[in-house]
Amino acid sequence: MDGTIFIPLMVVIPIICAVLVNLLHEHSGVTKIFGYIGAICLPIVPILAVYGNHFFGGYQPLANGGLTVALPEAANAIISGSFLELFHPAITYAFGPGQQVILFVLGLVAMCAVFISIAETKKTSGVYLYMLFMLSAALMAFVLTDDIFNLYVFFEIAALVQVGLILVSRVRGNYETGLKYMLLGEVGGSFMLLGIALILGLTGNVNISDIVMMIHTGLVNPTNPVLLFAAGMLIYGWLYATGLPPFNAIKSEIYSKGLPSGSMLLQSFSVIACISIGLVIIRIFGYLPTAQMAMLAVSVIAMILGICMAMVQDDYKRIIAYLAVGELGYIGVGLGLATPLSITAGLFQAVNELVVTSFLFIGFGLVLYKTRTSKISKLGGLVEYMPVAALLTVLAGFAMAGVPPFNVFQSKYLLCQAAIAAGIPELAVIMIILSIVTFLAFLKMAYAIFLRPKPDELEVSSASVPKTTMAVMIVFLIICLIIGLFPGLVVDKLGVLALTAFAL
Amino acid sequence: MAIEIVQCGALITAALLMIIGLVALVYLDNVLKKIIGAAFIGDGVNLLIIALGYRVNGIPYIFLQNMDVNSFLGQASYPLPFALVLTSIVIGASTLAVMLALAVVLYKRNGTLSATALLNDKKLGEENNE
Amino acid sequence: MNMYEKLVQTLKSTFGQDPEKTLVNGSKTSSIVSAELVLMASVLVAALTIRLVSPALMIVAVIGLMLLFMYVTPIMPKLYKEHNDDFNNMMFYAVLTLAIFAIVFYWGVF
Repeated sequence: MDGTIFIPLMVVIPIICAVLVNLLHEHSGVTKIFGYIGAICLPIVPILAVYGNHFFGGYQPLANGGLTVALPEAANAIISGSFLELFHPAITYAFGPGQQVILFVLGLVAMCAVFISIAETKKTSGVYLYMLFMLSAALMAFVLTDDIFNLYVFFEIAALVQVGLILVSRVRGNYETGLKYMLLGEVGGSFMLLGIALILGLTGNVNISDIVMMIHTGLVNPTNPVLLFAAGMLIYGWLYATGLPPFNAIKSEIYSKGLPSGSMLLQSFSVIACISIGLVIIRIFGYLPTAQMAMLAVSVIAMILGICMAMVQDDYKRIIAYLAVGELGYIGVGLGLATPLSITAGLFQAVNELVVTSFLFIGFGLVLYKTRTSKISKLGGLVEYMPVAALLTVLAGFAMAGVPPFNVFQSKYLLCQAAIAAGIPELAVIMIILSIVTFLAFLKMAYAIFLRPKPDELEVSSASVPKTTMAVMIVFLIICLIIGLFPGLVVDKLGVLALTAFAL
Repeated sequence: MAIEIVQCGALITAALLMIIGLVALVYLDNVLKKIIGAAFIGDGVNLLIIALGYRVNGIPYIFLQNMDVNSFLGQASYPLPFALVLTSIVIGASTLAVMLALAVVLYKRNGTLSATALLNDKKLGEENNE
Repeated sequence: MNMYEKLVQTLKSTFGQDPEKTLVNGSKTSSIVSAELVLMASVLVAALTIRLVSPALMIVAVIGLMLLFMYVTPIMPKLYKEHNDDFNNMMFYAVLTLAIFAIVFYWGVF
């Protein structure tokens, strides 16, 4: 048996689990078992899989042989020796070292989200688990797929599931937020599809490798205004998927309406969409300086706006949400500089972001669990009630701000190096200033919630912190430390993925 | 040239649908009208994709045993856009269904469909949890 | 001190509609002031990157930004008000960005 059989399984297993838990949602025990099995599979399958391509339906490129016998003689004569031989007729999933690292970390985050949701609810909800698994499947497919329309389909599935995740959270105003997100999503998603349609019209292809080959070998005129317009539309879709301005307000609202386990996956969606759609744009339109400039400009605005808005909020869920949007700007800067080093740094930042933001969402989810309020002005003195959890949450904040020896320090350092090497040291200066302010915003929040005297009217519930949640936080802390101390483990593999962005 | 009017007309209709949808989303206040506008944008894009696969005097893209390969290649329309647009329509329908369901829930709760009343969160940063 | 009082007045008018509930205290004021300074500093530094397009444009942009900051400070309360959760507001900015992207990419490249 070939090891590449595991590549589609990364998407198929979560989908099967999703369907099963939804079907069996009345039997709490069975649902729980399927939930655990599916969750454990998520990080394990990427480790087992062998690097390679998977062609759905077995339709390999004709150059690999195999299909030619099935075609009529005359068709063979036309195809052989032409570009048609190299095209990918099937939906192709590409799996390499970079994808492996990203999928492993994503699988871990999704597994922890499932575990926490099972631990924190009395009766396991099959519907909620369905959404978590479906979103994980969509995210896995995002990273793997080499087909731009397949990317769009999973993008829309993910958008629907995201709305589902916030609808079940029972936070006030979640229905309004859901409708707002869907209406904005209809604009963002449709215009991204318009970009894909125009690329399809010009190249007749939806496989990204084929499109890249056609544009770079001159089969399609690279300066065709319609193609450039398609680039603009794809970048607009990227903005919506990632939650960069003008979509940062709705994205941060979405994060703040989810449950902690849901918010973990909601922010994973932004991170994964940012890197996968961003890489597509760089692969196809790498020759276009305007595309890179647009990506850079929006990312810088996102960083500044996100972190400045985080400073003035009074709701800690909103603060983390805005900080998360701001941190996405760092990834965007890495991708927008479009050098191999900067893309590696951006991907590295994305992997770290997946872990650290989830870590923060769980940490502050515990504060919500104990106090039922998310307004900082009403909180205080919680360090007495949850000392270990408070320490872990503060460490998570330190990690996000880029304090050594945690992982984000390494990726931000690499990003600064890449910005200087690309000849734009101003970006490095901005990134350092904003990291300091992230630290400040976080310190202010930690002081107000944990350290200052407890207000008299604050009621802290006596329920003990769930053990699973604590275990997950410790796992995340260990991951942060390992990646921070041995960045080579991750960076070398991500570098391979970054280089493929420049290969034909 | 007379025949390409079909394709041109489809493309212009698609552009109009998108613009009408955007205008509805920005200017109309009723939530249902906004949802219809959003659906228009998706429909416009779908129409554009179908129009891409159009071929003057085209035939269906099914290759039968007794056909001549060269004339088939010269006449068959392009199948990929049709396959894609089917998926896209299904996605659009499910999105539309969820949006309408949300509008129903919001109407039941608040008794109004005005977007300024429903979707305008003046409670700056105030989120209480049940 | 006069400047500080003035600033606190502005902040109170923005953040404290209900002074009983949302007191504008020292830590809030200082965080808004630091956000303000960070915004100015990072926007000015970011404006320096315009030199890659044209150095003359950069000088104009930086001086223009400095003058702007002098006259519209404090910016953060205005930004906070503008950056709210109103759907019409979000949609307006989304469509504006779409228009900018369409124009820049269709006519502005090559």
